Amino acid sequence: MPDSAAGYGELACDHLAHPVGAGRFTSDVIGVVSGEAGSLAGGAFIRLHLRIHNHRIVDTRFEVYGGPALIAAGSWYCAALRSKKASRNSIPSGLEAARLLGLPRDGQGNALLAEDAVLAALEWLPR
Amino acid sequence: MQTNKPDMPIYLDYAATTPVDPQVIEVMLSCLGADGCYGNPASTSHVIGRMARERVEAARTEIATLVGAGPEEIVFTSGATESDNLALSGVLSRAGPGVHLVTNRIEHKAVIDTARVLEARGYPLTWLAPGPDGRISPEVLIEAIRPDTVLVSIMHVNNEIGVIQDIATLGGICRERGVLFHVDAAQSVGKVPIDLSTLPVDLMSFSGHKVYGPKGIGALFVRDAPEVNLDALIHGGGHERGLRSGTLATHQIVGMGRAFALAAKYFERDVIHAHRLSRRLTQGLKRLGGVRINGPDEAHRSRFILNVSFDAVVADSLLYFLTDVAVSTGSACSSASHEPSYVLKALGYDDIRARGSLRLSLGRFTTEDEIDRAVEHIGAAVSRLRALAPDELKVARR
Repeated sequence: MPDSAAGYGELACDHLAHPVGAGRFTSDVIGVVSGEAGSLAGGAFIRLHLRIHNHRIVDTRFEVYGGPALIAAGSWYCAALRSKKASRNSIPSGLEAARLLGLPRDGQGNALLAEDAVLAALEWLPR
Repeated sequence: MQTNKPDMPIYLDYAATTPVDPQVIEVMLSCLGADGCYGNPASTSHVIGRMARERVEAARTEIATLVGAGPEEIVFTSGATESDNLALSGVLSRAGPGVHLVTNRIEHKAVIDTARVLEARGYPLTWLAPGPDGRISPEVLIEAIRPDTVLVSIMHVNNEIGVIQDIATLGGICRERGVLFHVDAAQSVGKVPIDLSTLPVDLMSFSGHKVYGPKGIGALFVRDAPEVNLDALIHGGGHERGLRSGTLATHQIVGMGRAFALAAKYFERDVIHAHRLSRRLTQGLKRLGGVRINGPDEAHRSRFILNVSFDAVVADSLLYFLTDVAVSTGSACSSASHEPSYVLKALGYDDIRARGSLRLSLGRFTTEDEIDRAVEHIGAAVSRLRALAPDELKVARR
């Protein structure tokens, strides 16, 4: 398995080795909101799915088409959001995600993209 | 020869560089010690210098022999990049201000960047558009040549997709019109037959390290008859017929000479080996599903290079997981934007296909077992990434 020699921090490598929440919920799961960011043509696209129950995020999934930094960011958000309150204020920022993951400079924008996908999903919730 | 230690990745990046052949290392070492030919090849006033000079000239002959040139037509440089620079800048500088240059959109950056610099200096430039298979048609070249065109530069084998250009036909068009023809042969020498005694080529660039020789040495063929005139880029002593000054690196030159001699000796064996391995690799990858071969059909492609796209996968991620196989993406991903390969884009491929491309390149020391294991590793990494891909990409793949 790759290691930090590829320019990624230890936490990013862990997420790349063992992604959390890969895929999407089956259609019978209720209370799911989804948001996406980026574009396929641009080579960086992420879709986050959040299952909400009693104003909390109880489960997460992600789909991704992009480089390693985007995969790591998607997985990190899936892990970090579980049991979090379903509100914009409780969402860690993309910059924080990039710092914790140890993403290389040219991969930090991918964490912001993942954050955008989370915020887009939360837009579906009643205010 | 076993090139890799057991714990090293399988090497499928021979188009980037090749391991130095042990026979090359041996002759290079013989030049370096106090008991070797350490003299300056230009110091022919004493025997130590003359010993070095003899080795240099023997190497020059070995290089010339492989490509059907005369030894006096071979100018040593630091590599194919310098050779390309010398050919383009040297010819245009000698021809005078404002003369016209023609080149190809899918050239190596050594030609593309040099052409852009020359354009910025006031030399008008025309880019040839290849067809969907990467080949330059005679008609496209004929249309591009103007009365003030002095040089056309087209690579023999493309370094990303392996397309082989018909340099005999393209060179003939140039010669009929009195236009000089330069060919970058870094990826073709030793892999595709080259006979400069019959080919209508005026300048040809070579590299040592693509042919199991050392890095840091290359050559430019400069035709004697009809004579090609060009200005030097590097001045200071008038070495190499005044075209490339600087003390000759005897050990590098001797290494390149031996590498070219070995390329001549093993030519047929190497080509047959690459054909067999390329077919095995292609078949193995196709079995993975959602795999597309980029570039021309087999008849017009060097079997030493295979460029493939994997549906629903970004090659950067594939490279991350492919720790057991040393390959390259087709793209020049040197920036944060990770732009897709300009070569694949020039062929009209969409961004997703271009971003999913890998270049696998084979060589003399590649084995069938390595091919099979590489396919297994690539398959595992592709499956892993496709499991993460958005559903719409998976649907598109079906």
